[in-house]
Amino acid sequence: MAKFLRVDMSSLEVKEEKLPEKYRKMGGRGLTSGFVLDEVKPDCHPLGKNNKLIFAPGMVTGTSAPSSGRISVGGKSPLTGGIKESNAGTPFAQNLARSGYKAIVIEGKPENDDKCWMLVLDSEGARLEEATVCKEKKTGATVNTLKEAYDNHDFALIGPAGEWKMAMAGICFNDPEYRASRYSGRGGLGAVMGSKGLKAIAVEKKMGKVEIENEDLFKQGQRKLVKGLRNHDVTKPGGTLNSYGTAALINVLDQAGGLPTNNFSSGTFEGAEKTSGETLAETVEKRGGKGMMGHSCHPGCIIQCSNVYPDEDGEELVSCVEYESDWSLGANLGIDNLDKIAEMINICNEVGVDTIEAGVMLGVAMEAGLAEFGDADKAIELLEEICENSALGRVLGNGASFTGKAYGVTRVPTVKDQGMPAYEPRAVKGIGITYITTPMGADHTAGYTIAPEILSVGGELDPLSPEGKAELSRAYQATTAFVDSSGYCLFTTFALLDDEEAMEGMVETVNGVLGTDYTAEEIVEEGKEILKKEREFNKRAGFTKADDRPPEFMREEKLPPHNGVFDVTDEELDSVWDF
Amino acid sequence: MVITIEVKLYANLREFHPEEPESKESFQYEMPAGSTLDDLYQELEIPEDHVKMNFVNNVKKSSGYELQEKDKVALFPPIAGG
Ligand code: SF4
Repeated sequence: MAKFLRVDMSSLEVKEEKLPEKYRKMGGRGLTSGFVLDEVKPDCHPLGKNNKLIFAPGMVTGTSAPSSGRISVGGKSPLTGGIKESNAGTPFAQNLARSGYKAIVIEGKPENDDKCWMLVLDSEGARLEEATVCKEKKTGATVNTLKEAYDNHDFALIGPAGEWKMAMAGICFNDPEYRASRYSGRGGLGAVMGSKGLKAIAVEKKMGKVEIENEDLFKQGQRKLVKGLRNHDVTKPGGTLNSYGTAALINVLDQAGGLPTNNFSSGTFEGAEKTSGETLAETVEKRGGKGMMGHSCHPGCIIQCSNVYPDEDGEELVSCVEYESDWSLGANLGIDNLDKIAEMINICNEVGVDTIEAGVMLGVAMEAGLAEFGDADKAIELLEEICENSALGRVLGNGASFTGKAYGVTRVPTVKDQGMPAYEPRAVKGIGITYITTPMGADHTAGYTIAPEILSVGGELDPLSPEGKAELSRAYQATTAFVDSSGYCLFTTFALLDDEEAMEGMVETVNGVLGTDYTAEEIVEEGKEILKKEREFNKRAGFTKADDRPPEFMREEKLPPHNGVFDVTDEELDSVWDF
Repeated sequence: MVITIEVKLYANLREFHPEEPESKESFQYEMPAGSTLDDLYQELEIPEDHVKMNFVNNVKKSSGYELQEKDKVALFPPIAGG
């Protein structure tokens, strides 16, 4: 019987329920968004008892399919007020899948918040235990404490920022070496978990096996996919993701004039080289010690894009310095020092906030005059305010839009109140359309049109032209909604887009596990169904076309070096949803 | 006629740096007028399929692009991320 867990934080009861038939062929994002639309009151307060938080591993997660240890977390976002799905790669995802539960639904809210709780899921069953010893503990210390009592488990947890219900708090997961470093960062879901008094979830390793309906088909698909990932120049061992990490994009976007710099006031950054993936890899090699490139967020990833960044003595400083964090806390703030960037990532990971939102917020704070662009020490001080839960920290901890309002800033790069990631919409039009139209708020992963617009993967398009980009964004958003449901890391798509056989293999693994007969075309239709549900939730929550618009300054201020504005018309933006 | 361009190589293309392999520094390079990016790859002995992205003066160009005096050229291997 396909089942899920329902955890009522009002009565502190945990119940096993049969998974409704309509959810049986779903996983990951499809499942979290399905639950949110069906069960969450759209007008509820995101931090109130009527919001729910849903954890769902992907369709093939927990099997031997490569790079598939991903989990989706969903709910109503305290940052955007709309639906949210935020995705992470972690052994927690694999072991939750192996527990046999397709999802965990956390609902309700305790009467008072003097205690906090953890959900334990092991061979003795599922139960809530008091976790007040970890109250307001940072993430690293929390994992270390929990690991003593639960020594064969993986964890989902929040840092103090989540307990303080800050709108940029994320949900943290351990990596294979028990670093508190993998995040469902976006959209403030950590605050939702905090509002429910839930500090952590512990899942015992390998409680069972993921059921596979058609082993032969699964194996056949797996072979094709592995071959594709091992052959593609981007995803193969020793390929660019493996050697330089995602931060190899810093120089690319800088050269494309699309690297948002000094709070989205320029598209190129003088310090790009110093903060690039090339410099990162060189530093890691030179310093040696605990540092490494080619780290994996969960066992079984072929691509291995993660890293461990060492300090000057080779001691571990943080995992990991990836493109988005490197940019948000680097170029976006005019900061060109990788050590300082790594220190800031570590502060974010420890207090439990999204690095993208933190960086975008700091850019706005710098615009407001709280620090000079380029002043890393002052930026670190501002992050420390969050850790102290000071009055200023509470403003900053609520994200870029909130900080912009507090200080009367007009250059606030957000959509639906979520900070924009590391691609400048005025220089790369398709990704701008994705930021603006996805139900998630500004999110690059929702429809990564950067692939054909900049990277020449899956086609070749002019990034500066708005021509045909609404259609492009729609297609990418639909495919992505499915990939986020499958459990595969989005980075597998770089190989899938260029290699038909690998794509076929991916679909076969899904069909093998679920007993479905999806074709490559049908998964796009499936993706569209998920998008429609998400859009419907937002509509019911009060969102209109007016929320699918860029920040005004992007229509008016010309961005160097191309000196263009965001010139996609409102009609074109709306046409993304013509399906 | 000869033109001078400025070239910068990225990621694993840095091994083809003509003066100092692995260097991240850009270099000035002379080419006959009318040369294309394809010609530049040949000159630098970069196998054609190693270059995936070209930017000239911050604008994405295809390999048939005809180089102009003082162009700033950036060559990248296949790269992706998020
Ligand atoms: S490619 Fe990177 S993010 Fe994706 S699963 Fe592998 S290590 Fe994790």
